[in-house]
Amino acid sequence: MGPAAPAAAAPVLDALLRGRVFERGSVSPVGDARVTVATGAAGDLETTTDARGRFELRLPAGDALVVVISEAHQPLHVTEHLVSHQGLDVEYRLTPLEAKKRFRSKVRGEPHHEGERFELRDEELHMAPGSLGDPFRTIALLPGVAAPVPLLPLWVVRGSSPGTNGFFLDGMRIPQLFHFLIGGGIVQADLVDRIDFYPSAYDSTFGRFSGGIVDGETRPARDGYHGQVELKLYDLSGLVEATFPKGVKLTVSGHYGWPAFLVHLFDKKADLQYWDFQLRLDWKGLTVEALGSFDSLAFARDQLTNGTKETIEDRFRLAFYRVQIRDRERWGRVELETGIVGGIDELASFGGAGVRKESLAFRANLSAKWKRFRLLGGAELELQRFSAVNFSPGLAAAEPDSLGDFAGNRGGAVGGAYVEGVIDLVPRRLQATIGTRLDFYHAGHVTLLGLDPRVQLKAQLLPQLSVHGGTGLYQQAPSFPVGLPGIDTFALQLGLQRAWQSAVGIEVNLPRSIDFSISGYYNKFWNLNDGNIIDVVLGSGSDSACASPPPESLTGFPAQVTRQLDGAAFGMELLLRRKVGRVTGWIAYTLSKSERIFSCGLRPADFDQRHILNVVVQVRLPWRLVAGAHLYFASGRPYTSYLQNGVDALRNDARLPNYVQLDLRLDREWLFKKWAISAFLEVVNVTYSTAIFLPSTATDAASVMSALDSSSFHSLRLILPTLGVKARL
Amino acid sequence: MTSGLAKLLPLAVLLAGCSWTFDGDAPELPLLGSPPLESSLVRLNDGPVYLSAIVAGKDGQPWLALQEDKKSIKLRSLGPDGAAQTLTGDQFIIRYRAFYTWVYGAAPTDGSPRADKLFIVSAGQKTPADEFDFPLGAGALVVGGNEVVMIYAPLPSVMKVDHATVYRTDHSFQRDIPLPDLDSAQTLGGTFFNGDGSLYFDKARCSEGCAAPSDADDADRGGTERRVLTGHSTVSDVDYPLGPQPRRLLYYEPTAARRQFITCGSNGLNVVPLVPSTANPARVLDDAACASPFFQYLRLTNADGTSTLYLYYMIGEELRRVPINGSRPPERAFDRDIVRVLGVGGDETVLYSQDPDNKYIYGVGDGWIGDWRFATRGRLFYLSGDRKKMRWLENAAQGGGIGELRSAPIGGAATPLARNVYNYDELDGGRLLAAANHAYRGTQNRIVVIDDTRKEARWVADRADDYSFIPGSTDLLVDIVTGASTSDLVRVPLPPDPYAAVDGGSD
Repeated sequence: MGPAAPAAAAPVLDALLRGRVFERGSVSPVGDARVTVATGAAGDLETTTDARGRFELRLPAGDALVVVISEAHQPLHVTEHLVSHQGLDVEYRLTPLEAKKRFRSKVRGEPHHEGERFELRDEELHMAPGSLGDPFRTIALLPGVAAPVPLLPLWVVRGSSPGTNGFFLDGMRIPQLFHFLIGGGIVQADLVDRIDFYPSAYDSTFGRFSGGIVDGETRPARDGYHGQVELKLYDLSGLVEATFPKGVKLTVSGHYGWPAFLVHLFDKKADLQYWDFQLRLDWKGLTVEALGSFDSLAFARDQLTNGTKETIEDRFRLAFYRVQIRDRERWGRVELETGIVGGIDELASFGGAGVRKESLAFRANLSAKWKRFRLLGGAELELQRFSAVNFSPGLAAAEPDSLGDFAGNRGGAVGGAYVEGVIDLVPRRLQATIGTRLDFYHAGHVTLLGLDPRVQLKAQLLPQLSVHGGTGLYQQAPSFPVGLPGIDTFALQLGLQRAWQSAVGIEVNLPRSIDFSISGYYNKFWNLNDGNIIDVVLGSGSDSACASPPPESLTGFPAQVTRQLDGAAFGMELLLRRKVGRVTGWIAYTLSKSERIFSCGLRPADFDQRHILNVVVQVRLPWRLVAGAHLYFASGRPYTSYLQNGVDALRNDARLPNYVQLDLRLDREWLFKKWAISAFLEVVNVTYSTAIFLPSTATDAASVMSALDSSSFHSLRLILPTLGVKARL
Repeated sequence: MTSGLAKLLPLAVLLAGCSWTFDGDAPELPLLGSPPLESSLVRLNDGPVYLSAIVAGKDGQPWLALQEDKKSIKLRSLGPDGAAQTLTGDQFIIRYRAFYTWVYGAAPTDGSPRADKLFIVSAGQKTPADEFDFPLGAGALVVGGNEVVMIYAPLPSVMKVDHATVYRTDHSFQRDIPLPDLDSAQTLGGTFFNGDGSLYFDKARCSEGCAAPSDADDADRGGTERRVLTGHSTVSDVDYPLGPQPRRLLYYEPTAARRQFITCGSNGLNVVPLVPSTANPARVLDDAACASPFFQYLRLTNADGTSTLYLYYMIGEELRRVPINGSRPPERAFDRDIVRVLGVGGDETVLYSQDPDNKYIYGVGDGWIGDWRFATRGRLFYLSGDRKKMRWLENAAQGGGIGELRSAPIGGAATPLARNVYNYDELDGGRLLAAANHAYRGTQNRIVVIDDTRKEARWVADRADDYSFIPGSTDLLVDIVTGASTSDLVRVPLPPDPYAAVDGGSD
């Protein structure tokens, strides 16, 4: 044995490199980034950042080449000089890749709902052209959704009535999703984390609606402190996020709109305002939320008071407020979600008469999962008190009875319970969901009960091919044609609206991250509250042609807008969608037919639109530019040409012209060290298309509407450009 | 087999969605019978009707006037002969006894006013129409005094004139009357005739010195603003200058010798005779400042069997009464303060409201008799003919004044009779005729007869928007809805009271 060869001297790791990695343009730490240091003699040493972006490496003294690599960022190369027995604190900022999504949803658990579902996440929620950056407006671009009145977020989902759609936010029911006209959603856009849209045939976990369901979730505050301000031509919004010790997270957001100057282009006496706020506090599984929304549309008019003429503001006002305490816990195979929601809803109609609803709701949803079986159950109860209120006592001509059943003083209680089983009949191949729910509605002397059985099937035939289907009964108390705060649990004597919904679909995963789906649906309706509010508001008179009589127990405005009709809707929907890549977007086509049984027989429903095409394209360009386009085509909805035919005219015997609209959007982002500015320009209706609400009617000297003036329409034609600038930290 | 069914039963229950309704609200009155078939009803119009009216024919029968186009009026006798007639013209004024038809002359080319003719003709008139020439063309025309007299002024846009002309329609007399307030008087607005048409009154804007003293009670609705009142004979050239008078005034003419106004203003409640005399002097009935929106005559029987005519009126929130002849001082007529009087019954029952008339539209308000508050937001309050029941429309503070027809025995609980009632009348036998199910004008409208004693309703007409009584018959003229704003007019017999033989009553 010869003497051992002298070992190479091991480098002495007596210097310390310590630091944090952030994303450029923000104060967001980058977790899980690989920090590699080439030291020469000691070879490459590396570590990864923790969730707060922190790292620490012991290195030999001297120059060191540091490389920081993160999946969604450009690599960073930097040389540091390290001194023996000394430490060096550094802060690195990684530039996001061009392809990195600017909005990334962080869904906390998947929703426990079954059935055909369109998921909206990430940038689809926030940057879809045609949505003005509002997440909820993106729903209107999906298949199965008709927006028959241009500019108004009035949705007809798979041929149902617009008033039968349900809106959920963080598990609580909310009466409206949008502010008036162009006001956007009632929740600050960046707070919305995900939206799931269930057009029909969903499971028993959703109840008390007979149309589609929009289920949105907001997100908790991100780690650290963040803030942002967004300014549009007519709207200012803000968001502040903070994390406190012990994992307490707080988000405060809201926006305020001043679109009156746009409204003045059409009517100098009109004024429009809106605002909303949201507050969210998270601690472990507990979430406390408060939110509110306010809309006001006012017209100045003259009034004689004690013989003196004075100008007053006659105001239509909507407001609602919610406070929710929500807790989500998990024990082994069991998950429990509980919530308490307090609410105040207010609606004031022109003239001052209105209604205030105060409510207190409780809910509990339980899920227990075994290997091949999941059991879901839940119950909810909402106690309500409705009060007729004169919100404008200064107005001389109060008409409190015009709101009829909408505004009567009453107490109410609604609630329901469901039980549902999800069975893997063939593991990972075939799944069946069977459930039923029992709902009750009570107000005054009337109580309604509804039992809704529902079934869904889902089969994964091939790795790239799945089919799904569902059918069931969906019942709902009488509803107003549009969701409005405070207009709830009224006219129960009319009985439940009923829809038997059935749908089947095929989903195919194609190469290049493209998904294709085709769905067919058939919905049968009974006792549907299906008034055409547009006709009533515009006073066209065509709503009286071949009209079913109003329910005799209603009076005032409810009698004018409420029709109880039977009918059906069926159709087919195609969706070609790409979520990943430089070019993303979707092509959604809907072929549908919606019919109602009017007094003159089976006729097209008032909001029936046969063909609807939405093409949404977003392209990532150099210089952090994102360009988008939205092409919309819809065939005209029906109207009644009652030329001298009077009330015996064949209802909906003609159709409005087809409508084509192109919207363009361009987003650009500038990154600075700790903050960023982004701007967008969206131009709605660059095609300068004329949005037609109704044909106008010719009247003679005696104000008799005897003829349809087909050359004249109630219409709106404008290009709506919107410029927004957002600074974020 | 039984076992298999038992297993299927739960599944069937699961799959069979159900709904149940438990409605504890009181049911509506049963609607008995059926509406007359539309095919059995005689349509009285040929095309869409813009305007219709029942008028008195020269033959003593009621006639129906129908305007289906701008240039003609169709007349149909509602009497047994069903005679028909057509009037043509350029502009029509329809009054109960005659049609006043303007026929335009040829338009002159020199810019001078067009001369028009006015034809006065009654329905069924066999003789030629009375004809009047108006060189300054069709203008403002007020017909009055049982249609024996009319006053005319040319349109201000044609020519500004300083007078109007009164015509007896039988051509027996005419005279010019100065228009004292040239800026607006040419429309003849606010002028009026007395009952027999022998007098015409105009109210001129008051010049300096005639504004009443400021008074809180008189401060509303221009009560402080007086008008110079002048009467003009329509059978002679005599005028009756009455001087500045309050705007609130009643004309009272028990005899030709006692023509007088009762005025209500800051100077109190006064009798202002046209011609003061010893027998009919000017006098103060009540010296309290008056701004009463309510006046009602009521003849009360005295202890000695004679009767005295009283005037009921408001002073502030106090209901007062005073004999028209001033034989007694004014006195409080009701023992509590009230906001608004709705009416005083023959037995001096006071029907009142504690809501001002502008709290809700159409003067809707609560309704009281004594301590009994029977209505919350009502209108069309009527005591039944036997004065045992109160009827009204409840929840009527809405467009059109539609409400729920209710009936209540005095002091008792109300019974809802019909929803969405637009109009109603009491028939002779005590039943009610109502235009119901009228939340808005449409084919769901119906006319029904309601027996609020027996709690039942009977069909009169379906798709029926409104009704009119045809004089001299028990039939109704009913508007059948045919279009968004058009109607057919049909004659519908009133269903007889099936209990009349039992009760001894009749319609």
